[in-house]
Amino acid sequence: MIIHLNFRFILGIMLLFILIGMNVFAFFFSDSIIKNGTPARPPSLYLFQKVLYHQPIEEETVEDFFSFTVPEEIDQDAEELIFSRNPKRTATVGREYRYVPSSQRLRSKASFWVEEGPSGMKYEDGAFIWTPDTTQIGKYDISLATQMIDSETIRSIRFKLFSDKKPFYFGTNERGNSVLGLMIAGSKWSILPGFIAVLIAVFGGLFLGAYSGYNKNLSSNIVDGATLVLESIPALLLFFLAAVIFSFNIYIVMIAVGLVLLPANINVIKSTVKHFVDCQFVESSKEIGFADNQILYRDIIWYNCKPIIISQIANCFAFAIMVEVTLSYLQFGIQVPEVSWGNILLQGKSDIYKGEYWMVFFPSLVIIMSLLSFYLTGNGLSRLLDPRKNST
Amino acid sequence: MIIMSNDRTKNVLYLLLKNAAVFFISLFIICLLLALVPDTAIPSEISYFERVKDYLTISYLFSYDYSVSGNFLISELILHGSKLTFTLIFLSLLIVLIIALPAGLLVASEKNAMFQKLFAGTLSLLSPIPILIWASLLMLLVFVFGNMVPLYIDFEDGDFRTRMFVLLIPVAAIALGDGILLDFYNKIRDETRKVMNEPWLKAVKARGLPIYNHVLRALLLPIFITLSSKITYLISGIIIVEYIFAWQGLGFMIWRSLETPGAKDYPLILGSVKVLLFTVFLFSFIRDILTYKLNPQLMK
Repeated sequence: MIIHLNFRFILGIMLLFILIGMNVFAFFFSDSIIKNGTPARPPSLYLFQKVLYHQPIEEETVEDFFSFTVPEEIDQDAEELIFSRNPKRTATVGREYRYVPSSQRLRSKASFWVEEGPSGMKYEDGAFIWTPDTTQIGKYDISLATQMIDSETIRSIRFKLFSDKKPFYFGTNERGNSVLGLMIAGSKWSILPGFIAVLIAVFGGLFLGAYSGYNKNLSSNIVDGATLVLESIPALLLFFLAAVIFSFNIYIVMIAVGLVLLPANINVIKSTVKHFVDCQFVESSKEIGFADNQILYRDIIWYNCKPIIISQIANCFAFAIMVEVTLSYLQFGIQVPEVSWGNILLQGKSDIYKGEYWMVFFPSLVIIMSLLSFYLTGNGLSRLLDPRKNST
Repeated sequence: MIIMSNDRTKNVLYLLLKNAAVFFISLFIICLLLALVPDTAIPSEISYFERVKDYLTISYLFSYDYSVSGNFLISELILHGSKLTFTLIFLSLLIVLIIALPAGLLVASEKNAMFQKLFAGTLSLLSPIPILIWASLLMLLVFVFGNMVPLYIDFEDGDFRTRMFVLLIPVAAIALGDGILLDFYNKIRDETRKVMNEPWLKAVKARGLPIYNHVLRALLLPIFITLSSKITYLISGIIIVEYIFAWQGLGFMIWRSLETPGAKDYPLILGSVKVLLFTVFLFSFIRDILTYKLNPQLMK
């Protein structure tokens, strides 16, 4: 047997293991995974802050001490921009916070000081430095000032600095809950409810599709008709109704998911069975005296439909995740205070207006990763089990 | 079950009746399910069967009145909602075809294997991303780089740039999500390859005549079959996108009616659902007709 492993399959398996790990973690440590920090803290990685953090730095210019000035955004094209680098917005207790405002050449022409900030923050050796201690946790309004050596103009910038005990690499939400903890806690709805959908859609589709493809009687016509009707009803509408009727019980909704996926699975199995039902080996088996069920399930389904069933299982799980996330987002799924990825995205939707993107960005990545894990693994496994590819 | 008959009218009638039966049965099922929705505003003495009867009467006899809010006729709301919903559907399908058709044709002509691998690989990685995630990420990108959130309310009052964002972002989310683009691309590529290998097309090529009008004509039916198989997913996607970007279309009205605690606007739900089911019915019927008309082998 030639084993065909490729990069996509390996990637899928790795992502699936990560997802299963998150699930296990969520089930066993559900109370302690969500850490608390400063509300609305951005992610700690400077790259994410620089590229995507939308809240601008305010720069204020004081021409002289007697005039009234209006804060204006930094003109990035202006020459001799003293505060030419974006400051980091997050600090961790016990680690040095360091902000170098501009290049050495510019710094040498100006003096810097802290106008407003936590105690201990100072300008030293070309950078603003501060090492927060355990009593300095929270959000600080920082105002840093500079004055050119031969000028009376004072420029200052204002921004908010978040200080916490832990780094919170993915940021926190409005209540201070760690986004990483929320994503892990929300993962518990990603696999378990999908089993119900898989049972109905895949195994129901297998038996009904096999029956409908092998037999040409009234029952198979009824199955075809029911399939047509189920296919024509918009899926999300059925999920809405199932959610509302059964008080947002996600397991009942998964029954609806299974019913929605049933027609597609029935059609695939039916077309495969129909392809083989007129073959020579089937006729020979009937001549020998094998029972119809034996021919159907052992000779046709077992040897020819394994790859199809594997990919259907993977697609069902992925679809179940999508449905759970969508329904929770539309407030028809997992209800607050339970944590789910859809709820996190819904919170993030209102946070976008404030420039706080991390409640949308990171959960979206995790959801994409989960879906890809099932698709890539299912695709890879079905290729592995395809008898045409593995013949010696 | 296909009736092979010399009488074309009988075939068309059979297809019409089959699809109409599916439409009415689907509507009946929706009425049955809607009557199960718990509603504290409905008096307890009204039984389940009475509710079903009321909803069936509303659906099949078109007896719509004012909406629960009392301000608008349901028919006006549905008309306005349909305009917005079908704008999104039409534009998203246009974008899908604009991307998938040239890509599929180019790849099928096998002039550039590298482009095929790159395009197919990218599409297969992006296709599992659902419409909800596309919509959220596109909204985020537009906010970060365009400093605006593309909501429908800005469409009517905004300038040209704003209107383009407000229209294109939801449409892009629908076009890119749930593997619709990948399915169209795969179908166009496979069908084009099949047609390119047909002897009659080789004869046309040999005579020096342009082939793409023949190829495009041969692609009409597969494109329409793919489209009609995707229409229910499109409708589900529309509901999501209308909620995210606050488009007051049919999907948004269904969501709002079901989500509102207390008295639910069942006639509005039924009217909106009927329009959506009718769309599915229309696409299925046209697909079945085209299958017979464009594929002469089935015309017996």
